[in-house]
Amino acid sequence: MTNGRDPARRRDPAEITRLAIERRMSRRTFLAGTGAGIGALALAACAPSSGASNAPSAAPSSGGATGNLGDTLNLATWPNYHSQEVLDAFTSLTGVAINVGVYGSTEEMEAKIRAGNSGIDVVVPSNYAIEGWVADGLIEELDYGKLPSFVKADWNARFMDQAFDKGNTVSIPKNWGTTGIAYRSSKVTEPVTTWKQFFDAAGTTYDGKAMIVDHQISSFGSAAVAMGYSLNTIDPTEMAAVEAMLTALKPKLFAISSDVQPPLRALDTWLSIAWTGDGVQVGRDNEDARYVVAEDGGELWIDSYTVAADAPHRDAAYAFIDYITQPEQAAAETEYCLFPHANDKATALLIDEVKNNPVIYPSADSLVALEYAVNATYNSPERAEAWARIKASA
Amino acid sequence: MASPAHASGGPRRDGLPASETGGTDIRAGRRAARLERIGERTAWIYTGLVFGFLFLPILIVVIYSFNAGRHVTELTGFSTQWYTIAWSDRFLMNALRNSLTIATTTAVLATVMGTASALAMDRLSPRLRWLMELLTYVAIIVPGIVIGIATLIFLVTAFDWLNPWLAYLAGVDAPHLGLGAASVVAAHTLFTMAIVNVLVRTRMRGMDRNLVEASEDLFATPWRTFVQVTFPQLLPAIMAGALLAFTFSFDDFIIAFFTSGQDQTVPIYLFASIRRGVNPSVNAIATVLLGVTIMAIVLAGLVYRRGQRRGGAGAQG
Amino acid sequence: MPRTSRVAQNDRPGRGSRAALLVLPATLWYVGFLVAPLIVLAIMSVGVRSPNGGYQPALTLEQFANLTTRITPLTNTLGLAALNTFICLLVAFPVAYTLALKVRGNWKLVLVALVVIPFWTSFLIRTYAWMTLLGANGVPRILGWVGFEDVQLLNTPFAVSLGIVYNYLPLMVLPIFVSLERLDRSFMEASRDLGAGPVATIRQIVLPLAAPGILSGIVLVFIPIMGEYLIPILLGGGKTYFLGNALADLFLQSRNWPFGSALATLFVIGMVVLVAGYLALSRRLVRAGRESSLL
Repeated sequence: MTNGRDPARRRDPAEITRLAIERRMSRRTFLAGTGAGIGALALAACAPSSGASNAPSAAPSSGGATGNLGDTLNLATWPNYHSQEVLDAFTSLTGVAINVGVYGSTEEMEAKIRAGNSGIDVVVPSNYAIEGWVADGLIEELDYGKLPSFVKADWNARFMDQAFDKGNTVSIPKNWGTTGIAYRSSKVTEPVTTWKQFFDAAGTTYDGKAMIVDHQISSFGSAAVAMGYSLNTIDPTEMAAVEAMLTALKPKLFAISSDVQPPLRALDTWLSIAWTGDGVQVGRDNEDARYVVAEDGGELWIDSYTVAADAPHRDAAYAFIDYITQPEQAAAETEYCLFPHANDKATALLIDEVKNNPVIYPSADSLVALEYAVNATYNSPERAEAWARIKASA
Repeated sequence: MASPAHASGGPRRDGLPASETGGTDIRAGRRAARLERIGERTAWIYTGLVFGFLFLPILIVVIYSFNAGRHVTELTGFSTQWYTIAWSDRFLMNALRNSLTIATTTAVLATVMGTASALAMDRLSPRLRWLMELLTYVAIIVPGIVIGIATLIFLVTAFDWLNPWLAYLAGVDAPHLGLGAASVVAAHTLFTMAIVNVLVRTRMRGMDRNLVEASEDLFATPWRTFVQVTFPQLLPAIMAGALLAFTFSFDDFIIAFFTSGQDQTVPIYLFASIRRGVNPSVNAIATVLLGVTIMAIVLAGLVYRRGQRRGGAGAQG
Repeated sequence: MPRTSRVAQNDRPGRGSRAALLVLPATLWYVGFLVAPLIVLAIMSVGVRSPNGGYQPALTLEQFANLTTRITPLTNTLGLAALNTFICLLVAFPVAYTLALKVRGNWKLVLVALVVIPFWTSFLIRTYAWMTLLGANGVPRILGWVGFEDVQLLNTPFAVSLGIVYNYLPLMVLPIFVSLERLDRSFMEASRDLGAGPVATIRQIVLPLAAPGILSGIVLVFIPIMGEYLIPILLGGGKTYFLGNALADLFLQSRNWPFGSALATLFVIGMVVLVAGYLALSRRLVRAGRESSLL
């Protein structure tokens, strides 16, 4: 990367893509490296001074709170989901240090929040949990008066006003994504494009080399789709059939684990259920890694910012949400975590390699068959028990 | 490691002259000696293998902490970058600070309370003593995960009760009780205090009571008896207990996972890292911890040996 | 002990209250952080799951009735714990024996320290190193070079057992070492002089004397293995499911606190009964063994 400013050195496209997605690469270096030459350098130099990629620019408003924001904010979120630079910029602008708590699943976040006195201010749950949290008073209604930067029109209508939170009264989307199939094409020579194919192959051709995520909604749901049922099924007969299939499959799997990246990288596993960002991140270092959205259906999900009902630093929480949902910051975050974002203006700000990446931003057609998981499924005791029984089986 | 002192072919114990039994004795004796040497050699090879087994992963960790490459698939040259990266990782340093604080506090509390209860237990009435023994015993047996979950649930319930009262009594500036390092210390101390108690009481049983009684008969105050007679004899057990308490607390994941609230500890940080594909800087941390440990043990060994050479009397060999 | 001094001790004023004072902090701690939480668990175990997850007060035994669905984790845990404790014992005993009886002076301390040092690196990191060693890029790759293709070592009961034995070996070596260290070598020499072969010597002299250490080792190793959570996840890939995993999942995934509390309550009761029974039985055996031996 040191000779990125030498226009004479041609780079191959794969390396450019890889470098572009490298977190610390600035737009100026990137343009120089594409062989656009001196002209590009000149362009970059002529760009407004904030042209250094998506560096956070707009200051957060204090959201009408005249008081002190405090010095800490506790964030409950997913791994590798936030750009440290954006968080640091927030800290330097407001003096509020952000304490990032990382959770492997919405259930874990809920366990902490439901127990109470968790100290959590801002939570980033997945869509299917939100209705239940509202019903139990775990999160509060957003005070949009404290979010002056929020412009509804900037956001992708596809992901706003959804059934789980009509009118976005309690949540503002962060990133969305799909649950799909990740595989290493050097070992999986025939493309796997449907869930039916996945589950058939997992027990036979790829015995010992396939894995599923430790997630009731994603794994049980995808298995249900493979058998022709709905992702969200809570019908007892259907669930029993899915449970039987997965119980028989379990001994042949490599693992039931949500940490798919290490085994995929090490080729311990060749075929796995995965979420968008995982697929992209593995693909960044491995040429043959593929991520596909299944044709016969699957899960579409949205992670959103919410404020805990007993948040100890409420004003800081709103200041943070106001700041992080601005298009510049949202774009910076997306370039870091490589999950698609629900804010159209942010998407427009992305560098091309991310914006046009068909894995990160799949075409609308490929999303047609997908569905959101619903709260009833998330909270169904029978479904949770079925999943637990599968895990507890021999 | 010399073979046994009695060589074959020496004077017989039954008094009969050697020539009466002929050479078979000598051959049998030599065979036994050879078997014994083979046995010893096997024992040493075996022990060596076990040590190799114990240190193999450690070696891997140390090697990869100096690896220039990021993934375990590439061993690409020597580099100390992970050490600098680890030291500038604010979250890791924060977790390290938390872990050290929690472990030290736990060790102190566990040692003090465990030793105090051990000293006192023999003087309680039999029924009370039985109760204390039961509690100690249960504290050791209950699995960490149960303690973690149960403590979490109990504390949040208690806080839900207490916080409104505190707010009522002290107004807006009332302290808000929540989960954090303190709740971790509480749960860790529970288990480690029981361990210290057991260690000290075991040592007490092997202790020379005559010295204590002599001291009391000589009208020394209980405090002086404790300081000058009991405590020095118990010291090895107390120190072992403190060390164990510190190690356990520093290394514990499952209890801290449930009770730490928003405070991260090193194992919690590590677990999150491992799930995502370990950043090799954790290898750097492990190597540093290992180095510190080895130095501490060497130091302790040297101090111990100097104490022995100087003191001598009463010290164990 | 001369009776007079004991009477003199008993007459000392304030003795009882001093003892009570010394014991008070520990007692309060046990009550506050052991008894109270366990009571809360017990109360929850007779409740029901609230619709969105959590606890709802009730009085029912249905949670305990449902525990039969978790038989497999129970047998997994018990079986692997017993097996691996036994393996630990087999592996550790010769090492402890060698260190205690075949090593002189300073080397003894050094070697014992070497046994303990791995214990001092982080448990998680040691286990992660095994994940690397047993994964596709580790030992299986080497096995592939010598012709054993496609061997899967990671995420098998073998890997879990290996991880367990590795992590708990020092805990077994140390107590046995401590017992054997007190062994007077002249006993062994006498035994040899009297014509006993090495095996008989070990059986009749060494083992009875090492018995307390072996007992402690078994207890020190078996109890934590029963509560293991991390090793089945990291080295078992979620396929080998322990009681600890079942418990955690009930609280974190199913959010069925009452059921989880019931499992936890039974777990605790089971452990106490198991260990108490074991200790009582083995003490009796050890005493009987000692009485019947030459010592």
